[in-house]
Amino acid sequence: MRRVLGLVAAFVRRDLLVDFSYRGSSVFTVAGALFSLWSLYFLGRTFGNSSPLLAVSGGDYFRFALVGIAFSVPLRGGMAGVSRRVRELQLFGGLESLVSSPVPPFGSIVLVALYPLLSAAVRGGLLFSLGVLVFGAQFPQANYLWACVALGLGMAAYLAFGIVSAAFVVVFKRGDPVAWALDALTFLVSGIIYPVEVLPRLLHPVAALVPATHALAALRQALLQGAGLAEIAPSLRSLLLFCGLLLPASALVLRAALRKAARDGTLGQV
Amino acid sequence: MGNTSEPSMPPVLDARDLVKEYPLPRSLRELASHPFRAKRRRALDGLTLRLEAGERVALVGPNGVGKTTLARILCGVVLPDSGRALVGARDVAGGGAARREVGLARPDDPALHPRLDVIECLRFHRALYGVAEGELGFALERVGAADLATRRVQGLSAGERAKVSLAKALMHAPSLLILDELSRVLDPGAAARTRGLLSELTSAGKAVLLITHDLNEAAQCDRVVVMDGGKSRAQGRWGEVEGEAREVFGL
Repeated sequence: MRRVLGLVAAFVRRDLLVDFSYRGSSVFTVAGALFSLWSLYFLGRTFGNSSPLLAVSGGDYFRFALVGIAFSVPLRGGMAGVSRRVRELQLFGGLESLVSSPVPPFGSIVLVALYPLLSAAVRGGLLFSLGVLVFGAQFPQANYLWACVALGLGMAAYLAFGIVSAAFVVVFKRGDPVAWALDALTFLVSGIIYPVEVLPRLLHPVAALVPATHALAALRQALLQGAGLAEIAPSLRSLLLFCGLLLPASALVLRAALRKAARDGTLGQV
Repeated sequence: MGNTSEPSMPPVLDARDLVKEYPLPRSLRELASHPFRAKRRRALDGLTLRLEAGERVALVGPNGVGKTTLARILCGVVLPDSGRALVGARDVAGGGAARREVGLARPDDPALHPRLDVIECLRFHRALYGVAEGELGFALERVGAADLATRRVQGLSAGERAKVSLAKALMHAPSLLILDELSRVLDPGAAARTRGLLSELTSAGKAVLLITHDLNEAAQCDRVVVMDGGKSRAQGRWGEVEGEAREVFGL
């Protein structure tokens, strides 16, 4: 256990130091977050506070969209971040040196995934905090415990997509079109900036197959209505099912990809 | 008759009949005419190589004869198509424990992240291999690179990077140290220090595999393996294989 914690700390520390070596990137992150929140804030003022489709947020569009935007960052960003990090490692050769270490290759990729996930969670938290502190969004009933559980399960499901995406990068040495398509689908149907109910009925089953739909539904219930386990249990069950299916499947896909790259001798190729 | 009662030490490296072919990219015309016929290049063609404890062996041969492929197989990043390589009696394809027994140093070491300080790169390596903190400074001192600890990797010269790579490879005390063309970027002083260090290591029972194009360097090793066409063409002391070595280089 101590060894695992040491590895987690080493991977996160290294990636954090690499991130900090690019000065100014955090300033751009905060500025980007502020601009996107301003857009939502003015959209909210345009629509007013009385849409019946926004019952979960008491008709308040800004609070509805703030939860969607802020918490889709750890979901979508985590997925894209994992394959991006693996691609970076591939480009400067670090992937080969990781695979040649005593840490099992699959474990290495999961450890590589930690920092993108953590940094996406921090960016999501920053957006949420700016929404509260700068734009005055109120969450008086928020049940943060169950919101964290829903977010954690959602991130785990998207980590599985990120691992599959990384496997694609390991084999094909290219950004992953599957991850791009999934990200676009998540933005379109999971109810990030508008409720799923406004989608055509044809797209409702598609929305149900996207983990973010369930994660965001549970997050909104917990944060906006103070819902507890009983109310968000259906969403959590769906998320658990996604994790139970996707995580082992992603592990198998990544193992196969790493083995193919080692057989073809292409781990170090760009 | 003979000395059958004496237990024999297993070799540090026991690579047998290693064969490795790489797939080659195919043109659209080739794909259209023979969609299922793979095009491959044979990098290793039945290479057999043993290194005993305390032995320093040079691997020489022209470009593309499979020297680096052998190093990559020994590090576990490439799987051989057939044959096997044991380091310390453990199969390198099995991962885990065998990986601790191999250390690879090379001038363009990708384990050294260009945006990090030397000390941070080594700390990361320390965590990967579960090495004690004290080994870090000791390894840098051994290769004469203690003054580089707080320098960023991207600002180092090729020779300085090579020294740091060597320190990294030594940190986890591998029983087999592979130096992949390290000497070509070292200044004469650093090269002499490295030779002294390698002598210390072999005296302590470690095995060293030098991949080199420098025949003078190869001549100072206990044994020289001349590679040609993915296999060993000749093995022996420098005096025994000098002719073959010069021949494969066309000298």
